[in-house]
Amino acid sequence: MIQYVMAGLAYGSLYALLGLGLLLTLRTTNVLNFAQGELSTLLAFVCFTIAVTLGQGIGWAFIGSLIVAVIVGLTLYNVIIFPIRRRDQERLATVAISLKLAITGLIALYWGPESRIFPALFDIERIEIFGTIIVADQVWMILAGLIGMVLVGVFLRFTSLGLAMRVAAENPDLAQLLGVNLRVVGSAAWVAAALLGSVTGVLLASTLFLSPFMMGLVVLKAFTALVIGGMVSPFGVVIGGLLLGLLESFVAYTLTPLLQDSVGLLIIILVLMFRPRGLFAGQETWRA
Amino acid sequence: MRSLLSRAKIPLLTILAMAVAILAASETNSYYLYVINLCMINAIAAVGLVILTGVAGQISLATAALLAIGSYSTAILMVHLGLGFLPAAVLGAFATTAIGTILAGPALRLTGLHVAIVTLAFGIIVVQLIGKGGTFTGGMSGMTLPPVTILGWALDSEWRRFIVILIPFALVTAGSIRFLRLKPGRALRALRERELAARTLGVNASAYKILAFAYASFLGGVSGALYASLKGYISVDDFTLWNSIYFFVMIALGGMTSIVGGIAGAFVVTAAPEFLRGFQEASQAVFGVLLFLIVVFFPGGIVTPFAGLSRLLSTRKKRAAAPGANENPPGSPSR
Amino acid sequence: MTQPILHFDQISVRFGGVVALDGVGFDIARGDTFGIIGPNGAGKTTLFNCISGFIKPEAGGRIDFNGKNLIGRSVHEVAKLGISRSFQNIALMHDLTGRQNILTGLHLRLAYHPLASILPLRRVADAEAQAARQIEKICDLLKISGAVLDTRVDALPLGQQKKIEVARAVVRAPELLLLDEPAGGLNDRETADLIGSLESLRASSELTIVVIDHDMNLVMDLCDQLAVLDFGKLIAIGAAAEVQDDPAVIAVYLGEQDAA
Repeated sequence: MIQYVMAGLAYGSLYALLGLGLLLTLRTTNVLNFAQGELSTLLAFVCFTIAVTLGQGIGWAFIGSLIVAVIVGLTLYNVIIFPIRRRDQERLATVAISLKLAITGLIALYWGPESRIFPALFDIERIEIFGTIIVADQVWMILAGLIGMVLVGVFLRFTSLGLAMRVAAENPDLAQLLGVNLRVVGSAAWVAAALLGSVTGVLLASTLFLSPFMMGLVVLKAFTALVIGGMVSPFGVVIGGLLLGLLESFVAYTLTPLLQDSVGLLIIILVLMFRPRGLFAGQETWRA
Repeated sequence: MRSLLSRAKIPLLTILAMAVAILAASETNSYYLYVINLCMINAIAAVGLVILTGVAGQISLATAALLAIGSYSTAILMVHLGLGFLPAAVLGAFATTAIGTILAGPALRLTGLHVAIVTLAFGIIVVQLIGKGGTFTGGMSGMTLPPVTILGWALDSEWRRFIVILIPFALVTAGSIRFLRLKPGRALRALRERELAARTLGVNASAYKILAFAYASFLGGVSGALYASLKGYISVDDFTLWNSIYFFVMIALGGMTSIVGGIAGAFVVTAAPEFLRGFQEASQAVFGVLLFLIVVFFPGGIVTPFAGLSRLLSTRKKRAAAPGANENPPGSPSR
Repeated sequence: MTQPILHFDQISVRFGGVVALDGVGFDIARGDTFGIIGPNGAGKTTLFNCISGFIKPEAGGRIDFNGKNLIGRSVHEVAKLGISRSFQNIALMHDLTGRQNILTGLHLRLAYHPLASILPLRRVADAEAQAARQIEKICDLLKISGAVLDTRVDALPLGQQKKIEVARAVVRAPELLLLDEPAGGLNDRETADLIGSLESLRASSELTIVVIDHDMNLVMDLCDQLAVLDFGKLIAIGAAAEVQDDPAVIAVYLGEQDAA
């Protein structure tokens, strides 16, 4: 039973982190980034290459992937999104969709479509806490989730860049009048999304396996988290992700593992039909 | 009909030329004919998506699910109830219309991105449910259809299937072009561009959104039924999110609002992977990157330049022939 | 006494703390050209939006059109009853021609079901042909030239755009036309042209016109009756000439000039 809760929290953390990435790019640059999963996958592959093909340790590889994440985030935003930022939401989402296709194709082309084994992050496989055996990977996910959420929260609340992002999310034109540099703010959002993607990608790959298509369903759950947060509230997204993870575990535990993946999708439909503003309307910490 | 043909001349000729060339090749190899059949089937669904997403502005990532419902309804009716293909297909199309129109409900109250996400979730859940249907739907192993005959005529050759697919394809294309050119198309475009004014002109926004969903769902169902008859065997792997994305890309290639563009896009997206088979891994990447470049740099699509040219040619002729009877001068959104 | 075409009773609208309309009530007689004037922010467009159905006034208010209550009806239902309008900032479709824009105004008159359009039916062709004739007729009446009709509206001068918006609103022969600042942004020549078109319109039909505008020439030329709003309240109503001389009205406008 504890295992189920742990698994739920672990995967929920991943959904929360990815969901935050989606939220940041959506609110700051108006792009619903359908390619967030692919971004994650790409960075996981980069990490893999550094660790295995280039033979560096997993630690260096992870740091390397973070650096690449920054570069990729900057490039994606400045080269592709920024020039077309005036297009409407739907057109931007269309670009994100095609980006999804392009990145997957490129990953499959360069690395091949097979699945691979990703090196473990640390040498510990299982941890024993209070007599129960827990999968170590899940602990890392929960820890990463906590750290990520705190970092993002602190960043948004207490740094001037974070404040600038929140203002830009509310009202880009007003933000410009106030002297906010949209390019900087947008870059920050995409870099953050890439970094979050890198962390989740590496964690997921090390738990399961590495494949160009591994993020397929996971990113949909990030969408669920996003929707639960009303597409506005970071707090809502985080809670949404964790809740989803726990719910999935609950369903797997009580009903059948087969229905696990459908839970998130069902939640999306229900929330959007009955509470499109999310379950946490009023908790909009985006308000500057 | 005459003015319709003159307007869509060049893009239609392009498709026709491609098709004829391939048909000639298919004398020796019915595989190419199969590809054309597949292109037409996808084109039917793409036309529906042009109207729903391109013109009515409702982003739908559920297209593959619509095909799934159409295919599986047809298959289930044939396998479990012993119905013939024609009645099964018609019922299947209506079943798809009914289920697909349910999506209009949330769409009436939600913004564009929300609609995209709802259709995304719906699309996947429907297929997941089908996959868990046990013996009823064949579960994850799929369903095989009994041999398809229409009014006693067995569809046992690719040419026969070609004719059976060509008829709905032609009807759907012609009918949809009219649909967009006349009252409903104008109403949908007015709602998209000037919703408030459109409503004061009597356009019932809710009714038209529902109509758009119903139309696209119906075409998805028809497409699905024909797909089942073409392949003879269907499984949930044929109807994934990626498939929905490919439909989306088909209409994006054609400029989103153009029927003919969407059809051309369907032909390109369907046929290209078949012809790039030799370069399997490279093809997906090249394909993806190319599509991405087109969507970013040519948001008007690559086929609409053709459509614009053909319109230019035909209106010059029309002005010479009948002064004053000018219904769609250059600059109007294409059908 | 014949029934007024529009009857307002206790119309109040609040936006947060701001009172946009406060207990407004008056009648408009059929066939009149009725002007609603007042300083900016007096609630004029809000009143139009209540008629159209975009805004719901507070409980207790009534707007009767030929005796039928409008409040609570959806916007397209109100249109169907025979009410058309134009907008302050022109709401034409930019990349379409004048003719195509006016054609959208005939949506309710095209007597075929949307799905019927997919078939080459006689009734569809007839309806479309009739629509084309109706467009020709209204453009003759309003003096909109063929060249203008076949040009994209965003390439047209503002005066022509305004006329096309009016054409779009009246081509289906509504009973009531609401014009929101039809002369806004127009120079004298364009305004005169517009007044001419509106006078032709009046002369040829039973159309009741309600105009909101700041241009006193247009208002005085066209309007039989006037209502004056200030801060959401009705402060004067009556024949144009009398209202113009009403001290309360003058005070309101002088006050505005002082502030300006």
